Amino acid sequence: MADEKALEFKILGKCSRSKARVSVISLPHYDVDAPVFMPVGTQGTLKGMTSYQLEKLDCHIILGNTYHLGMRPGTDVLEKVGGLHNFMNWKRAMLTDSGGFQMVSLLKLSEVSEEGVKFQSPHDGSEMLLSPEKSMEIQNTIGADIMMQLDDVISSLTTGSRVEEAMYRSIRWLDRCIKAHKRPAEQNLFPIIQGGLDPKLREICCQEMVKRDCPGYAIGGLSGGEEKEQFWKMVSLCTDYLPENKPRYCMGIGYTTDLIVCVALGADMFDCVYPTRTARFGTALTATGQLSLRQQKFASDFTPIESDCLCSTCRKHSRAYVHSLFSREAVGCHLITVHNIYYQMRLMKEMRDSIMNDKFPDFVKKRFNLLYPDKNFPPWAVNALSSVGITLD
Amino acid sequence: MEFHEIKSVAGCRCGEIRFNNSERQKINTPACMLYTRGGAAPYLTNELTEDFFDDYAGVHVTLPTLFQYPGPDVLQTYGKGISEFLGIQKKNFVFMSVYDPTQEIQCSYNEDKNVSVWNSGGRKKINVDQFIEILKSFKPNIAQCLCDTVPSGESCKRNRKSVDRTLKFLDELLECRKNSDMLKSIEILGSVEGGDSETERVRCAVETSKREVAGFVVEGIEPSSQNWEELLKTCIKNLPSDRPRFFPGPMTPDHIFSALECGIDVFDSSFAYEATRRGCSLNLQCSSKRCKPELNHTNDVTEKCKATQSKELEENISENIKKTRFEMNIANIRYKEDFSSLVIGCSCYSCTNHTRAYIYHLLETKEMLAEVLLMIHNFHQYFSFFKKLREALNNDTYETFKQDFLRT
Repeated sequence: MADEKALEFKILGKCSRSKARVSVISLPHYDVDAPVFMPVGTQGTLKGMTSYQLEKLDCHIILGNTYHLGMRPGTDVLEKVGGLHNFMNWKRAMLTDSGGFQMVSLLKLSEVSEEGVKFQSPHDGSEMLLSPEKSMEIQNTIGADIMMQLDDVISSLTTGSRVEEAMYRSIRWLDRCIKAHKRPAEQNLFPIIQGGLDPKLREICCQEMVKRDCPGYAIGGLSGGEEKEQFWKMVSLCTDYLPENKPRYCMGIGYTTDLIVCVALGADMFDCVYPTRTARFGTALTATGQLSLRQQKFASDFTPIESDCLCSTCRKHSRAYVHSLFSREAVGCHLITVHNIYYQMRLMKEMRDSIMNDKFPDFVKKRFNLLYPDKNFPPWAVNALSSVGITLD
Repeated sequence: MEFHEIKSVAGCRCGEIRFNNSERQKINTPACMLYTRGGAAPYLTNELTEDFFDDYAGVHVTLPTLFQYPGPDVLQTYGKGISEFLGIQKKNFVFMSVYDPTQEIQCSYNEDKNVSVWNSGGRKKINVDQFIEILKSFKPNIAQCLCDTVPSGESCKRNRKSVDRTLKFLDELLECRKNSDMLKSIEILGSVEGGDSETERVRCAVETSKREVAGFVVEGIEPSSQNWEELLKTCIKNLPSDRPRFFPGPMTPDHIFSALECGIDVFDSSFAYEATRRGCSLNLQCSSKRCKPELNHTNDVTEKCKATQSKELEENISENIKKTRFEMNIANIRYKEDFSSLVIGCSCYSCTNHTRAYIYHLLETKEMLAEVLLMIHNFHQYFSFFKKLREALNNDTYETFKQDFLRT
């Protein structure tokens, strides 16, 4: 049925200079304000945070990992309970990856063929195959608002014919995913643009995938250690080729600088393990940079992590308190996780507000000056921003 | 701080602890304090503790989890005391104990002039002067005086020494307190020591009662030891009735009933923490509502028993079953697809929002949320049990409540 759609995309405002835009992505479980950062909750939980806290932190959408969830709790359990939303009692939107990325990053023994990704189960050593069909089957059972196609993941440093092969294979796998997707009225399938660092391949991939008229598109195969100069050019090229009226998800982005640049380049959705992972190592994020709260100098620092932050950690506690708990009690880590998620949510909200007020370029300059007080801005960011009319000074 | 008895039922004291400070809420007894580590409820941020619990008596902080981090130097610089440093609401008192109730008593390291306190980094000897420095910088509302706690099974000589040292520490602190307004603002609790010697227990109780202490902590009596109730009664018989009595340690409901009937007023909630650490969910509803015993946590003792059949082990087992018939081991595979709440009808956050299957999954994948959800539930069960106890005492239904609760 043509009018049964699982996604509605509405642009609320645009930056008059850059490609930045504010939108609402209406998904079956929640209306997500974009640009949006999606914290990663790998195994049906977000690093010690209760759903209650995540809602208070104003998280609209979280990410789950198909590979991990397929292993544990497994599709049997998820089937019985009616999907991951029910299993973990998360009422808002959710996105699942295809499982392919974990195959390549976690499992050394994986082998990619036209059929899919063959790998050895880390639990019993048996040989298993993750095909586009299998990925869709698991993701349909998990029931996230947005599912990602299985793509042929290669390192972003790969060059030569393998890049081209991976790009074309990803298109073929997209078609198999579309065919295997059983719940299009309740779940959205996003393709992933591949093509490495080759503009021509990226262009072909965008054109082919746009023809499939999917509800939204992801820009993949980046942020794997490539030159940042090449990274931003690929993002910008993709946002140019992707349709204006659909959400664009830039995968694996989470640093403040990268988020600001990618929003300026017209991306709407982002995810990264960084804010939550770094919290577990004692690092708190602030507008002026990171604080490693384990350092002795914070033992007698009675100011909050960020003085103008309204998260429950900063409203109640000092750096000294977090320092005294960290690495001894789990609470220390939870306190930083709360702050870091709040930091990301606040950054995105401030970007949305500034775009709506058409003050985005001012916002970018302000944040860059806070982050780089000596004005040693990374050249790639300067170039990326100037490509969309924002000059840093 | 004063204790006012409202009524006494079967030896249990039902009353109020009132404070001179008007910002602080009065405490209804029998009371249970919030157990903390490093000054925070284990696994729970303050936000969660404040949003989910309001029926604990006060905040129990322990010297071993605080003496090094943040430590007296940091708090001296801070100047506003531990309560504010930890972000504890003003209505709650902060009580500092010398020991962590979840740690084993290690008395052999204590000396005439100092007591050894342990944390994960090792041992620190603390003498009275250092203890006073800690008090001056931490500024807890209530503090247990430095004491030399011995468990049962020590020699007569060692038991006597524990009382001698503990009284000496108390006298030194109280002497110093005379000249310090800061120390005067801290309510000091004296400890009743003496190991399993009845004579020493009586001596310690009588002597401590003569001192200017705001209340008492009965130390070194483990509810697993023989005749512990008799010993506890002996101590309490020799204490004045106008001051509260604290009894530290992880305690099951059976122990709480017994200790209460001996005349104890204030408990800690370290049992809820230990259950959480075992991956277990507490069920402290009345017995007809509790889960079947075979579903409970058993520490694999049945298998061990089959292998050896020794009498000692059997005793261990009965003790273990006694201890654990109130808890379910959620890490057991039987809960993998169990979509009911931890305790049916429990109104805590974890039970109203999550299932056994989900918490099983969190334990299996070693995700940190497992302990968070179990801790919320276990504290809720433990504090609710005390609330029900107080209600039963107030409504004169204590005996029925106890019978219903303990029936197997």
